[in-house]
Amino acid sequence: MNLVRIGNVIAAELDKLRTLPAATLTALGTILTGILLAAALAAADQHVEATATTVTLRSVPFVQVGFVLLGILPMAHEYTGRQIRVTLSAIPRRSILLAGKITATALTLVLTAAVTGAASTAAAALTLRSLGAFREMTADDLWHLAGTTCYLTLIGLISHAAAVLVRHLIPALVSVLGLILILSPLLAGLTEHARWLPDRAAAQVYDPHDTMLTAGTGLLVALAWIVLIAATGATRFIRRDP
Amino acid sequence: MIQIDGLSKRHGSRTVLSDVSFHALPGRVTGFLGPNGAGKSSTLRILLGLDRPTAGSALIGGRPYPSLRTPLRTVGSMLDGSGAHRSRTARGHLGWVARSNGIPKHRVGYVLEQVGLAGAARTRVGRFSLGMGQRLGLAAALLGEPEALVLDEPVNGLDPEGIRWIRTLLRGHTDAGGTVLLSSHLMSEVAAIADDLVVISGGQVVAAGPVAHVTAGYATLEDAFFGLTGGPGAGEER
Repeated sequence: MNLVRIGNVIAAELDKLRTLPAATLTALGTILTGILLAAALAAADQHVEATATTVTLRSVPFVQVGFVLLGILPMAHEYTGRQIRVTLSAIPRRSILLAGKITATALTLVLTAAVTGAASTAAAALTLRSLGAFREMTADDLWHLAGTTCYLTLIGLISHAAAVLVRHLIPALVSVLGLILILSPLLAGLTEHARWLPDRAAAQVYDPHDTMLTAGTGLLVALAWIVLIAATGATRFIRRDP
Repeated sequence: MIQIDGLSKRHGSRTVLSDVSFHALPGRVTGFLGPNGAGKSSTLRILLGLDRPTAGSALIGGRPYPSLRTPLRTVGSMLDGSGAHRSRTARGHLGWVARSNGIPKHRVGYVLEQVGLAGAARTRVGRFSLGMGQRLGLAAALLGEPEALVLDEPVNGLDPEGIRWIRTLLRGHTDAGGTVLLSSHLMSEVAAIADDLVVISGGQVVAAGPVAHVTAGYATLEDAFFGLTGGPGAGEER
């Protein structure tokens, strides 16, 4: 019975995302941006022995912004206006509500990340082929692509966890983008301990270059961050009045 | 039946509700009346599991709201408008609400028809008038064919035709054995709809009973309201 209930909650949360124009536009816009960037980067990289995969990997730092927004919107849109009251009166068990919301967000992120990765790679391959610079992809390339999907999902989940904690769109956006675009690059120049930051650890899954973290341990560190931030937010959400 | 027993709520040192008790009975419309800030919304929020009481209990059919498995099939509620996100369509809003409680999809079209919004089903909620928003909130409340309706200021923003419509709708609900609890800060509105009144002032219930009983001894409904709630002109007419 509980399974039916959580199933209903996940389906309702997916419905919310599907019918929220900001969410669908973000997902489609991110995929389209990935395609256009991959094509442009492929044209720029045609003389440096690029493959469709290396081009796609170069586009990741840009398209990740879409995943930040896609991770934040499912929680933040509850608090623009008074929808949270309707949500809580429909699903008064807050733990079940959060579990459903996180699952629906994760599903949306994985799907969008997979489509973005595949579409960007296809766009890069087509561009390279049309320029006569196409190189066959190897098994390694496929692993890198899977890593890209995983990284973009992780970035979305970190953003979702931040949104569960701070609830509102602007504070969540500022904190996650501040981390990814400012704090993380800044600290990386100052200390090697910056590798433990959630986005740096997550990046190991598609671009393993660290001397200490591997793709596997990077994934675990990123997941630990997500659980820590989401659990703090969830405790607050479950205990306090809305 | 809705049972509120000994409900108290404090925010820090401020007492919002103090030992509030009353029942809303099946087959009757109970009007929950009081000036702004008297504690109406606080009581309803606790009843719907949105806030926790400091003491006391609020039960629907003998159970606290958060323990209801699919609450919308037992209680339909509307607090402060529809609560729908501005960028969603009316159909999109009702669609997810229905899904969350396993309510069949055909109910969405049915309730939109019932509240007179069938023509605006694909309109974004941000473009709705205040009255249309109230109708959408009512549609969501009716979605699960609940036994009880809990409505906070439902006539707010409705025109006279809309008020007559809601009166007929609520009467139909109670005639079928349902329970209706609605709050208002306007005595004349609520007296025209309700069978029973519960008057709250300063976080305490100051009168409760059938409308005629509560308003007895006052020249007008307005005098009764001010007399009971201690507002301007209190005690002049009794």
